[in-house]
Amino acid sequence: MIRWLLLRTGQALVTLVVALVILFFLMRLVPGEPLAPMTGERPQSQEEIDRFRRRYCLDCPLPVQFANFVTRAVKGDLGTSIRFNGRPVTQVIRERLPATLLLGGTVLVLNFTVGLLLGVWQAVRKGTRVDRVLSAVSLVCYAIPSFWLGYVLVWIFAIKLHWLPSASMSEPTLSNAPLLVRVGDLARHLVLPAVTLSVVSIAATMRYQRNAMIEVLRLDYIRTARAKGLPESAVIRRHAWRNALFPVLTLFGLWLPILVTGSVFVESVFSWSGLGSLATDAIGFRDYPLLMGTAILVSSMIVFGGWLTDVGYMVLDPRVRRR
Amino acid sequence: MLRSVLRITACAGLLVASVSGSACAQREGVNGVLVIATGADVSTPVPGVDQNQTNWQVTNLLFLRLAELGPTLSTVGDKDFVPMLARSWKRRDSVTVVFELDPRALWHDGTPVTSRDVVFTFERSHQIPDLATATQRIASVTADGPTRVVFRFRHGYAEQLYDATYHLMILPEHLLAGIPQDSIAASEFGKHPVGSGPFRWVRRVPDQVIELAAFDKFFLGKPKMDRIYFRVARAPDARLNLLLSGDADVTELLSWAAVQRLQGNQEFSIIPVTSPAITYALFNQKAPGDRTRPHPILSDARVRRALVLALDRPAMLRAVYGPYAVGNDGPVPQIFAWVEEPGHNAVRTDTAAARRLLADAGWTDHNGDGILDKDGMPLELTINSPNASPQRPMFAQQMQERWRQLGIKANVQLLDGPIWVQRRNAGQFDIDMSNAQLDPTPSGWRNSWSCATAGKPAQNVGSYCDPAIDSLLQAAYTSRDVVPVYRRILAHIREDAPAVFLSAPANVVAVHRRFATRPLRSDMIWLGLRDWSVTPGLQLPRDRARGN
Repeated sequence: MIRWLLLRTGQALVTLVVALVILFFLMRLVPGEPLAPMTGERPQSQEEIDRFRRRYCLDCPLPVQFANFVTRAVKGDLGTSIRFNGRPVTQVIRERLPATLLLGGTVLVLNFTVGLLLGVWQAVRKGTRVDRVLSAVSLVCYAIPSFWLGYVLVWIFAIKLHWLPSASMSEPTLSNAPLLVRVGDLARHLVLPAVTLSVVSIAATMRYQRNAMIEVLRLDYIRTARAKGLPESAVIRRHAWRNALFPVLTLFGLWLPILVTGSVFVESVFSWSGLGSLATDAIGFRDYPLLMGTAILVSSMIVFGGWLTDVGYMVLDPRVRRR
Repeated sequence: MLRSVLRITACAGLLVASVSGSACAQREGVNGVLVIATGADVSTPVPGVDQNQTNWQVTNLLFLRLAELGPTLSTVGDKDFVPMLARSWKRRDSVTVVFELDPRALWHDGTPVTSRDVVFTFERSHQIPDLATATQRIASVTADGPTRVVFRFRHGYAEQLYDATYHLMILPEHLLAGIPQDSIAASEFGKHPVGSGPFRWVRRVPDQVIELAAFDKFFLGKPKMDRIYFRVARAPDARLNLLLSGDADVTELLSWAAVQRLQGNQEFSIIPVTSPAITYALFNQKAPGDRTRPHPILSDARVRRALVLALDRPAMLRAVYGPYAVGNDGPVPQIFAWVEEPGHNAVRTDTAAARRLLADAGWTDHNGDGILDKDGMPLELTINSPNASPQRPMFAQQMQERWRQLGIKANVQLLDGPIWVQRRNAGQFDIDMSNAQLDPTPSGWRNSWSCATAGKPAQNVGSYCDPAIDSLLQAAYTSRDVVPVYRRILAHIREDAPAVFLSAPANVVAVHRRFATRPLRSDMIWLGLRDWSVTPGLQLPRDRARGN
C-alpha cells in the first residue's frame, strides 16, 4: 500500500511539473505585451518602457526566463509581480488567499453537508411528492447562472431590503470594533456570495448523491441488512451511504480546487478579493510571474484533488486496496 | 439675526480672501466620514511609483505640491496658481523662481517640511524617466535656508511654474533617502507612506479598502472629513450597488446607463465634472505593420477628411454618453477650454462634402458592389478597439454603420487589452479606437502629434507627422504667449484630420446629498476633499464613527 501511495504521489508530482512547464511556455505564446495595459492610455517614453522590460527580464531570451523561473521557484521565490509594481508574487497571493479560502471553504462545507443530506433524504423518499419537488428545484438551481443569481440577490437583500451588504468583505468603519462584531460583520458579507456559489453546487451534489444512493438501495446486501432487522436509519447510514459516497468522492475531488480558484464572476459581482479575480487580472496584464504563481497554486490543488480522490477510494474500498 | 448677518459677512470676506474659498463651507458643515467606491486598488501610494487612477487620487491626498493649479486649470503664467507647501513665490529674473515654504507644514510623523525635501524630490525625479522628461527644463533646484527653495530654469517660457509644481509632489528626504526608487514598492514606506497632505495613511486591506484619516496638524486646517475610505469594487455594477445599498457615498466615472439608474434616487446628486479625457479614432498614416510605407488609403488627407465629415458626431456621442460629453474637433479635452478660440464651432457633419472628397481622391464604386474602390482596391478598413472599454466599441459600431452608407467597408475588431496595445504600438491597424487622459498642458501634444515621436510605441502610434506642427510646438516651448500658438497647432491638426476626434466626455460623479462639496477638480477629482463637510442634521451613524 505504501508503494502504491508513493507511486501515486510521484505521478501527481510529475503531472504538476509537466503542466507548469507547458503553462510557462504557452503563456508566452499568447499574443499581447505584458506591460501593454500600463502603456495603453497615457503616452510613455521608450526609456520608460525599456526600463520596465529590463526590470522584469522581459527582453531576455525565453530559455533564460525559464531558467530564472525554475531557479527561483525551487527556493520558494515566484518572482515579482509586474501588475503590482515589483511586489513579491508570494506576498500578493498570500494577501488574497484567506478571502478565497473563506469563500471556497464555506461553499465546500455547505455543498458537502447540505447537498449530501438533501440527496440522501431525497433518495429514501424516491418517487414521493417531496422528491419530485426537490428534483425540480435542484434542476432549476443547477441551471441558474451564478452571476445572474448574484445580481438578483443583491437587488433583493441589499438594495431593496437593506438586510445585507451588497459587496466587499467588511464594513470599513468597523475596523476598530470588538472582534465578535467584526466576525459578525464578516459573516454578513459572506452570506450573499456563499449562497450564490452554493446554490449551483448544492444542486449538483444533491443530484449525484440521490442517484448514487438510489442505485445502492437497490442492491442485495441492503435487502439482507433490512431482512436482518436492522433499523432503517442504520441501514441507510452504515450500509448504504458509505457505498453511495464513491461518486460523490469524485465530485469532491473536482470541487476541491474551488478552495483556491474562487469564482471570477461571483468575486466580481460581490467585490470579493479572491484569487479568481487576481488570476484574471494577471492574464489581463500578461503579468507572467503572477500568472505562474496562481497557476502553481491552482494546478497543485487540482492534482491534489485527484490524488485525494484516489486515496479516498483506497481507504473506503477494500477492493481498490487489494489491487 | 445680527449674529447671522455677521457670520454671512465674515464668510463673504473670507471667500474673497481665501483662494480656495473653503473657510465658509468648513464653518457651516460638520464632521463626517466619506466612503468612496473606486474601481482599482492602491498598489503603492507614493508619487512616481504607479500611475493607476486610484493610486494617483490617494497620492494627491497624502502628498502636496508647492502650489496647485487654480480653478481655470490654466498652466500658463503664474497668477492662476494656489499656494500649498509654498506660501508664496517670486521671480528673481526670467529663469529663476524663489519659493518660500510655509513654515507650519509638517510631515505626518511630525517632522517639519524643509527646502531639503524639495531638493531631494527634484533629484529623485531624475530616476523616473517620465518625470525626468517632464522636468527637463528645470536646470537646478537649490535650498536657500530651511524654508526657501530656488528653481532655475534652462530658459524663459510660459509654463515654468507649472513644471515646478505639477510634476513634483514633495517627498520626505528623512524617510526616503536610503530607499532606491525601484525598491519603494516593497519598502515599509511604500506600505505606510508618510506625506504632508491633509490626510494621513491608516491602512490598506488588499483589494478591499484603503483608509485615510484627517491629519490633525495639517497646517491649512484639519479637514472636516474625519475618515476617508476607498472601497474597491472593480465592476462598475458593483460600485453602483454599493451606492444604492447605502454602503458608499460617492463614485465617479459613471456610465450613461448608470446615471439613468440613479436619476430617480433622491439620495444622490449627479455632478458632471470637466475631464482631461478624450476619445478618438486614430488613422494610421503608415501601412499596417510596415512603417516604411505610406498607408494605401489613409495617407491621403482627402480620404481622412471625408471619413471625419461623414460622421454625425453629436448624435454618436449622445448615444454613448447621453448629455455628459461635448464634441471636440481636435485633441482638446474639456479642461483645455482656455485654449479654444471663443465661439469655435466644434464639430461639422457634411456627407455631401465627404462624397465629393472621396470622388476627388479617386474612390468611386466602379464594379457596382456597393463599396467604393480605386485601382481595383476596395475602400475597406479595420477598426481595432479594446473590448474592455464600454464606450469605444459603441463608437466603432456607429462609425461602421455611417461609413457603410457612403460605400466604405469597415470591419470592427474587438481585441483583448494587451493584444490591442501590442498592435497599436506596432502600428498594426488601420483605425485605432484610442482614449487618452491628458496632462493639463497642451504641450503634451508633443507626445502624440509630433514628427519627433512619429511611429514610437505608446506615443505617436499613428505616425502622424506635419513639420509645421513641430515648428509650432517648438515655438510654444519658448514662447511667453502660448495660447495663440496652441490655437495654430489645433488649426493644423483639424486641417490634416489625423483622427476622428469623437468626444471630450465629462467625468460623471454621484455624491450623497448630505455632503457640502466644493467644486470638484477635473484632473484630480478628490483633491478638494479637505474642504468637504456634512450638512448639519444629515449625518449618518457612520459619520460619527471614530477610529485611530
